[in-house]
Amino acid sequence: MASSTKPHKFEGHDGASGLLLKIFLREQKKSPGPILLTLLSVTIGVAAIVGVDITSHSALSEFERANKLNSGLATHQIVGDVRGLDENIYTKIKLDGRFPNAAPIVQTEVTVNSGERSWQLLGIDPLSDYRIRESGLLGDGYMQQIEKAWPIHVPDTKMWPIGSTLRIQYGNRQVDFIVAGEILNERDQPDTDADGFLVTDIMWAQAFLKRLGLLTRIDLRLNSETDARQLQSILPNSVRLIDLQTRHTAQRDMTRAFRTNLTALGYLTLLVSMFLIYNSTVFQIARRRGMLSQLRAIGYTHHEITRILGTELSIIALTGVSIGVCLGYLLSSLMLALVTDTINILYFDLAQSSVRLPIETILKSVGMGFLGTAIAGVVPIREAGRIAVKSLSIRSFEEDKALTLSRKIIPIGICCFVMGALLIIFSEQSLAIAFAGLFLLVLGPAACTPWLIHQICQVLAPLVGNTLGLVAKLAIVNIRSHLSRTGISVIALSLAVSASLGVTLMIDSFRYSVDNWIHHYMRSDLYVVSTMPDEPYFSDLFRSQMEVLEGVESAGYSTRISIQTKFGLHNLLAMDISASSFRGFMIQTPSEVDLWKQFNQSRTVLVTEAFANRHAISVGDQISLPTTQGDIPFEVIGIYLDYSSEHGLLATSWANFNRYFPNSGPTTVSVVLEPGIIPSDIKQRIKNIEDAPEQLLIRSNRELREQILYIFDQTFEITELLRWLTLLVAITGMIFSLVALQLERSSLNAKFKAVGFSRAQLTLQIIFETSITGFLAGLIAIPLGLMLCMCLIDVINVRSFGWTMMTRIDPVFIFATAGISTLSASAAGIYPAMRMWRTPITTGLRDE
Amino acid sequence: MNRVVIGVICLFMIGFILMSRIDNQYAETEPVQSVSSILSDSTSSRDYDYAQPDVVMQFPGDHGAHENFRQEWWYFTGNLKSQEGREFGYQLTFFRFAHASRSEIQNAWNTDQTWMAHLAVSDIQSNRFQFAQDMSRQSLGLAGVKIKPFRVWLNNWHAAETEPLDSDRLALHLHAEGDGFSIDLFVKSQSAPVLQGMNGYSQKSHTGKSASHYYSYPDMETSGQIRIDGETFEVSGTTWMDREWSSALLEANQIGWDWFALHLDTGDKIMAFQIRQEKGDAYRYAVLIRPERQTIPLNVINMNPTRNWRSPKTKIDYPIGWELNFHSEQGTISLEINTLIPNQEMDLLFRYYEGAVQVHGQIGSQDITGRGYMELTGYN
Repeated sequence: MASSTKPHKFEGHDGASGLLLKIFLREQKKSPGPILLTLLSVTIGVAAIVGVDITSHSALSEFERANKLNSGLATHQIVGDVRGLDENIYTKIKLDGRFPNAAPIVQTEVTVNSGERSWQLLGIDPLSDYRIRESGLLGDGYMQQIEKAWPIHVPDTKMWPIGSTLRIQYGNRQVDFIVAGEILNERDQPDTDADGFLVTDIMWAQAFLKRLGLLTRIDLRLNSETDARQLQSILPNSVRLIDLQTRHTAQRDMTRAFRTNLTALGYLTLLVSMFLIYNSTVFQIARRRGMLSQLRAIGYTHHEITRILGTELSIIALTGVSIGVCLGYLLSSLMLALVTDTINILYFDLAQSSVRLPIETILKSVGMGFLGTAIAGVVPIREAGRIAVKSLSIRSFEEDKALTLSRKIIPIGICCFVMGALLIIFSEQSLAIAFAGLFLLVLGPAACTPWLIHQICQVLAPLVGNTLGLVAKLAIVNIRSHLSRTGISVIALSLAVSASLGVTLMIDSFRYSVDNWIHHYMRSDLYVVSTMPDEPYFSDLFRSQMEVLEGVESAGYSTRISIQTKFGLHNLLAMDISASSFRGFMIQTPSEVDLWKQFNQSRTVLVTEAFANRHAISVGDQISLPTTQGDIPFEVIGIYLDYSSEHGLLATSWANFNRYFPNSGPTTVSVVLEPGIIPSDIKQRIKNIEDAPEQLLIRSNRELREQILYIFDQTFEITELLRWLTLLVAITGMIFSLVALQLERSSLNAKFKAVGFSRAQLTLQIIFETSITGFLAGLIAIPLGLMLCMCLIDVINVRSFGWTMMTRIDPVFIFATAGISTLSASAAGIYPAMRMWRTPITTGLRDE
Repeated sequence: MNRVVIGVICLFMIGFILMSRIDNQYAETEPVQSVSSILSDSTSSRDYDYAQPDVVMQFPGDHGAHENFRQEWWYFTGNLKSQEGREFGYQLTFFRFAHASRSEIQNAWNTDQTWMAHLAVSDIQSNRFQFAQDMSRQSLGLAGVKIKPFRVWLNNWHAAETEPLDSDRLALHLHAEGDGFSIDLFVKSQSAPVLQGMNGYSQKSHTGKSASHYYSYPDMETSGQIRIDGETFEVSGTTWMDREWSSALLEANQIGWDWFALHLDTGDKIMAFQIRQEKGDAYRYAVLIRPERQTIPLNVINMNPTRNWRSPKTKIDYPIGWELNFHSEQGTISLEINTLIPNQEMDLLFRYYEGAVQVHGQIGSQDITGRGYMELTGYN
């Protein structure tokens, strides 16, 4: 009616809008709750995106950085066995002349001044290294490397000034190096990417490590595959030429799954946040229903109201995004530490990188923050602008609408579910699409939660009324009638809770599978390895003495070497073990068949499930392996379960290994003790064996098992962090909307008090109402969580890592899920109950 | 109000963009390094031998290394033509540097000798200059020199004896390759080496504190192949080989040298150099080598640059045109030297100019022309 009437024009159009905005902001100041929730939602949503993005970026750039200094522009590497590479091979390559871009490297991991952090000591030949790394590294210090004893270049001379002493330790060796300068980049500037590295001349590195005549590797920059083939032809069979491109791609792929998982959780948090933004926007509009109605009555148009509400939301979004970016930046430091630890354990050594804030991340998060807020806020704002003056002040209208909406949303929810399922089925190898499918799969049913709660309450109300009395019935009725306020929070909560349950069950199943695998696989009592990289092998003399060692029933031997197959770089596990140890292998295909005989036949291999899945290998296939006699096909006789390498592994018998591969001896000994022998008693006896490597690491079955599970738990710390972040957002949102709802009902509560409800009854009613809401949301989340868990185990993990696992549904987690949801909602009732307790009836009634 | 919000958002974004760009503000600059910064031995505690005037050169022994001298080189420069008349210049040099080593370290990488080699080819017709370098320690057989049969090498670059001649003559195969170009040349000396300076003792300063042992094969008959970008040219011509070793090539106030090795169409050869000082007159020396090997020291009247060329890459001005005037028994020798192509800058770890030149001028009243090589060092 008043839509065509302009407001009083004493300040002009912009002035009127300004005035309106001031009114709105003043109103917000009086009761900042809803606006703070919107702000918090935007902030946490953006922070999650920024945190995950920075972490992912930084981890990746740290990987690139480490590679840059480690391999520079190298395309290939020549490596020998664990002990090293004969340096005469370098001479051969350089004198050949066809491969001028070659540089010898002596490298190892060391510690400095008895610190815990490990550093890469890189011994280079500056006269050839510039061809690979294009940086001086040592700058003009070639001569200084000779003039002064034990010189070393460090990433930062502020930390270690020139001339200071660094005690560098490697095994039981230690030498005091003198800081000679900084590691330089190609512009002769201190290399900011050199963190984690210490560089010295190759002569000092070789002398320090006592690797006389041995290199760690030769880095090469080859122009073509033809060059690689020609080089291969002049190399002895005992050394391997590795294509770094393949290796880097493999490493990047390995972390890809890990990073995709993180990103998915980040977006889940944003999605949950969007629900809450929507919820709080609706809430703010509802709360100011009276005021908006008055404004419309005095002549403000719906267009103006929409515009001002939009402006208000933009300011909130801007503030939330700004705080979110900063918070995300801070969060990323914590996340990056966790991610770096995980990558170090699982994939390759990365130094803790500095957190960087790339412009893409800022643009992306700002865009996502604004877009998320806009999408979440546009519907309620438009509605507020369009609804007629009369309707604005009628609250029941809103509840009716909410109910209609919750009904309307069901087909959309079903569509989401079906689309999600289809995406998962047809996403093939794309993880991103599979994750999008998962979102939809969970979001669809979660969107139906308000309607489901409505239906449940409708059924429950009379039942509860008959059994638990009026107070309980009233609580149930209230839930049903307040869905316009709680519905979205309920969706957000059930989404977050189901995601949390799904992820928790998946991790638990995974851990259970790994534990089970260790139990099967590790049947020996002690595991022995040498900790001296230049003395990793156990000699025949050691083996013969081991056999007669008192208390030892049997010993198995194994080693791993890297081989380049047509599928890339893989580890080949060679085993000299007994039939009973072999039966510890969890052979999946062919099932129920004893492969022991076949395993000991010539040219046979077992492959891990991850290898078979990734490369579509079946039993009976032939795989060509690079042997000392050239490429020879090996028959795949079985596929076994293994969680030790997500990249995949091949296993062969010792006889095959001896015949076809450069065999320097075993590197691991697994010892089965005679019954009654205590592992700790025999450790010293093993160390005393003549010809045993200088330093041995002997771990009992239990120690090794604990260590593996510790690594496992570390791996999922970051997932846990994000899971809790999402839950936190959802729970906060739920608590807030319930608190706000209850506070708004203070006049109703006062009426109840006035008609004779006791304070205890009212408190009970409020807490019962919020608890039931939480409980129902949790209850609905349980099947969703189970479904998510199945998808993660059977689809995402198989695609990410190529391995299957057993599904274990621990009821504890299910109860915990319902419990968290219920408890958080119960907690939401406490504050309004206390307030109601303190508020005199008159105050409550005066608001009417 | 909306405009204010948009303004704030813009400012906010611009701020972040600027912040994130701060890291990228380093200017793209090339490293400037010189041979002295790579291989300088000024702080070395090692004792070296120094050039002495009374040393008598002996062959083939002096073709080999003099490891207790700080620097030494085997220097080949040549002017060649293909069968079709296409003109080329080339340079192949093996440098040896002595320095300290560590007695406490017992591995192959600990050595007191380091090698560097330079290769360059000037393709005059296409105005193209290509160059390359290689370096190595004298370790693991990667670089070194052997006297019998003579061979100096660095990785796969070498100058190796092809046939045994008299002890003071050499017939060598030169091989070296850079990225996309290579040389395979056979050079043969026509007679015994020319001992430069005083029986091979070559003074380098007015005070006589800097000097080297120096001999040359000024006219080695040359034939072989030059390959550029997959194209092979059968070439022939003349190579000038210099051998020099010293522990004190420059005095503290000397900043560089200009050196000329010229083949004249009369069969005469001229070697001339000046070593420039920061202050004061340059030290100059020149010699005329007659076809019958007689060496006639020349009085240098002047050695003046006539034009400069600025390297587009390093922005260094090199004097690529010269006017040289000498007194001799035959009368005044006036030569005009110009590079065959301007860009022959060796922009390597040690930066200098080494290029093929053409000569016009007179000896007395006789017009002469010629070809040769010019080396300019110490220009910044």
